[in-house]
Amino acid sequence: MGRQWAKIVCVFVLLMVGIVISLFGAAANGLPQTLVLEWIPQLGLNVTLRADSFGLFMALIITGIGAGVFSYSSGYLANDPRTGSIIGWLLVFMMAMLGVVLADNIVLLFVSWELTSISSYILIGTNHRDVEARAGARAALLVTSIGGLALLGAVVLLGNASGEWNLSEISPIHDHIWASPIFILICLAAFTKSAQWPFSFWLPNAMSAPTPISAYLHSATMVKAGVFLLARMHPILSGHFAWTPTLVAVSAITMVVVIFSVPKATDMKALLAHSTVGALALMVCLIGIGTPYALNAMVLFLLAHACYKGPLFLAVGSIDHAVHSRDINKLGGLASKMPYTTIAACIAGISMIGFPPMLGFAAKEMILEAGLGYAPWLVILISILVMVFVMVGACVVWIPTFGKNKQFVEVAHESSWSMLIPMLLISSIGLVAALGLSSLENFLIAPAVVSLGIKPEELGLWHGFNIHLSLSALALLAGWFAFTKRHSLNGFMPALPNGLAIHESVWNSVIGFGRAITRIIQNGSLTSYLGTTIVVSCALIIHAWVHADASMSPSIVQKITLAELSAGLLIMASSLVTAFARKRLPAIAGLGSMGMGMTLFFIVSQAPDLALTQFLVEIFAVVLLVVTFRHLPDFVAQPIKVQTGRLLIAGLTGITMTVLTLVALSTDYAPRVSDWYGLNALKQGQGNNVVNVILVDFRALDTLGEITVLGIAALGVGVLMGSLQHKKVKRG
Amino acid sequence: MKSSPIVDITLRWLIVLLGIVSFFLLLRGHDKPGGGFSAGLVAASAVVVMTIAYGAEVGRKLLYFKPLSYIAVGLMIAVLAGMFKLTSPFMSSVWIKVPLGFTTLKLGSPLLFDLGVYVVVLGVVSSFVLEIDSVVNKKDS
Repeated sequence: MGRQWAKIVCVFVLLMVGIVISLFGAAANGLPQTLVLEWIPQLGLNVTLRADSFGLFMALIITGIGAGVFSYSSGYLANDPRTGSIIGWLLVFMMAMLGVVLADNIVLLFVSWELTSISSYILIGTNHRDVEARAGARAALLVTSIGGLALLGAVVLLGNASGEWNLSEISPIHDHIWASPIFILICLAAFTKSAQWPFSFWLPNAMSAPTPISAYLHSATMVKAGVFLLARMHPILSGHFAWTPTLVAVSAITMVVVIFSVPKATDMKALLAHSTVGALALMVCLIGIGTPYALNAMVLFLLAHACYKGPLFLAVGSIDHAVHSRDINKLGGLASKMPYTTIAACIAGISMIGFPPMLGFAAKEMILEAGLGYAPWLVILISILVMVFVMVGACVVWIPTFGKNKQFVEVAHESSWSMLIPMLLISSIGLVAALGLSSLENFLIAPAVVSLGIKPEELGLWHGFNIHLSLSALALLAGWFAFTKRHSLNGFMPALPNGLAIHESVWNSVIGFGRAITRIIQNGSLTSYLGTTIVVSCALIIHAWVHADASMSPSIVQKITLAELSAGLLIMASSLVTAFARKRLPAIAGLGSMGMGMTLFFIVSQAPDLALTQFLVEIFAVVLLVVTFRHLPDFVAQPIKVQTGRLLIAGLTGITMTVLTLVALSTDYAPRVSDWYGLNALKQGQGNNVVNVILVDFRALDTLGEITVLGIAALGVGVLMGSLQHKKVKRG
Repeated sequence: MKSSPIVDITLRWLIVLLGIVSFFLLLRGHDKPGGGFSAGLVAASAVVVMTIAYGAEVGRKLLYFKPLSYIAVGLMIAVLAGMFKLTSPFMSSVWIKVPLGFTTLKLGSPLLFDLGVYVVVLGVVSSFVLEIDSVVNKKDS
């Protein structure tokens, strides 16, 4: 069933691709389509969508890769009972992501941004029975929600600083007094989402998600939201003095971390995740450099990366699906059994290592040139990163398909066409687009760059023999050399601090702190709970009374009737019986007759509804207590001794409540709300029973709240009793 | 547990009686003492009586559905009852009068709301009793 849904959704998403493409023309002419829906008009908050060229460029990637991923999922998740929920959440994610890239209102941008974090959390935790998947999902959620909070702060400050809430109307504010806080918060949001140092650890740990999810969220789209945010903020904030140094420094550190992490990884998905972190660092770095050329390179690389990293993930998933392994030390020689997967992986892999004539090559040449314009050390770092990409490409493409290890060849089988077609199509875009680079430039890249306020550069596949071409060639050779020597290389790699371990220890100390607090507050002693509750309520009442008007003094205004007196005596006598009972049954009987005294009071005061309910509740209480207590061991009667503390509490409570009652009775409240209810019950509520009309009509919302609480209490009892039963089973 | 004919026959009639009384209380509640809460308690007392007499299994059988389903369904009824008039605020009441010849039947969304309260209370009390009984009786065996 879920499988068919995946296909239907795929068709639907393909339609969306068509809609996105149809919007390009208007956007390229500088007249983007906008859509304004009222959201909270009282706050001047509207759902404002604006389809400008850069937003549409991102939307095309989101819907295009999305359609492929949905088709792929229908094959990959066949026979999986969770398909329906995964497809649903992927769809939620896709809509949220479209909201991020098309939102003009920055509050809407924030809301969509948070929705992507939440759907990502749920999708990473798909295998929620697995401890690692849970830990990875939690780390991803906590890290990205730090960024979400930062974005909220940035959005509020930005809106107040500029006076505008629509991105397209915000003018550069880098001279504003709040520019620095906004900049810091935006960086925090972007770096957490796009897995930059020191938050880079969450992405490799998010790989426990099923592969279509990793391909879609954690390489092609969601992690690029941070890059997208920085690109959007470039016209507004890039004049800030810290923009270039911060972005370049953080992305450079991230690249170093990636360079040291890759040689150790043996899981193909982890390898791809590390290289994704590296690619995101490249994009952040290019935005940091901030020249028109660098931003052109960033947009081109963003497209190229989506077109090769997506299919590579899908190919890894295809292999995993066939042989149930992703370990590069075990895989090999699958090319003969999985020819189409191999072709797709090879096309994508060639683009990844930046070999001509692929889109990845064109992008890499531009990146190297942009880096060369900034600083020589950066070019060297980028070259080493490219070398690492070559290593990853060799590990992920070469080893499983042509490697010597044949242990899985027997069981391998080619995947279904619904999985192969997206892989082949998306990876070949990297080839076709590179061959038709000038039309790609006119249609996609140049308008997108223009809408970021940047002059478009001419793209070219071949720039002649120059320094960056030789650097690429060197990186390619060095990468292959490092790949063949990777086992000995492993020994030289210093151990990096484990981000996830640090995150876990912070998490555990927070939990530990909570436990310590709970141990003090919830110490398990009923006596202390009761004592605390009673003393605090009495203190509050006394405090309120002391600060109230002088007129509020206790006085007896009503005559006590004989019936009231006898009910009162009954209550007093039965409470004494309960307090001094030497066995359980008499104590319960005392409690019950105390309740009957209360019922009697209600009858005397002519409140039949209250009396009826009280009566029933008292019966239930007695029955439940008898049923439960009959199984408890015998009550060991303690010799009665005077405990001064408890005596004080009891005395204080008694006096306070008496005084409170007398004060309440002698105070005249005007106007009396109960009179209004009495007058209007029949007129407006169609009922003669005022109490009932109040319960189900006038104050029905309160009653709804109360019955909800009742339901929650029943759940609580269920959990409590369930855990008791569990304990008993454990003990034997 | 040994069964006693006196208990068997009394209970058979008592259950029916409790059901009728609870329904009576529910329907008259809007004009005279009664209402969803007390009616729900009376209905639940049927489950309690059966549980005490024959054990939780029989109590569950009388209830037929799980207690938690009662709570969920009751809450749903209560929420839906508040949404009869879509143009008015939540919980605005709607009434119709059905003439039956000898008397007129007043039907309104508050009555439906009260039915929701009734079902929730029935579910909550039954779940208390059944849960406690299941723990307590584990100990015996």
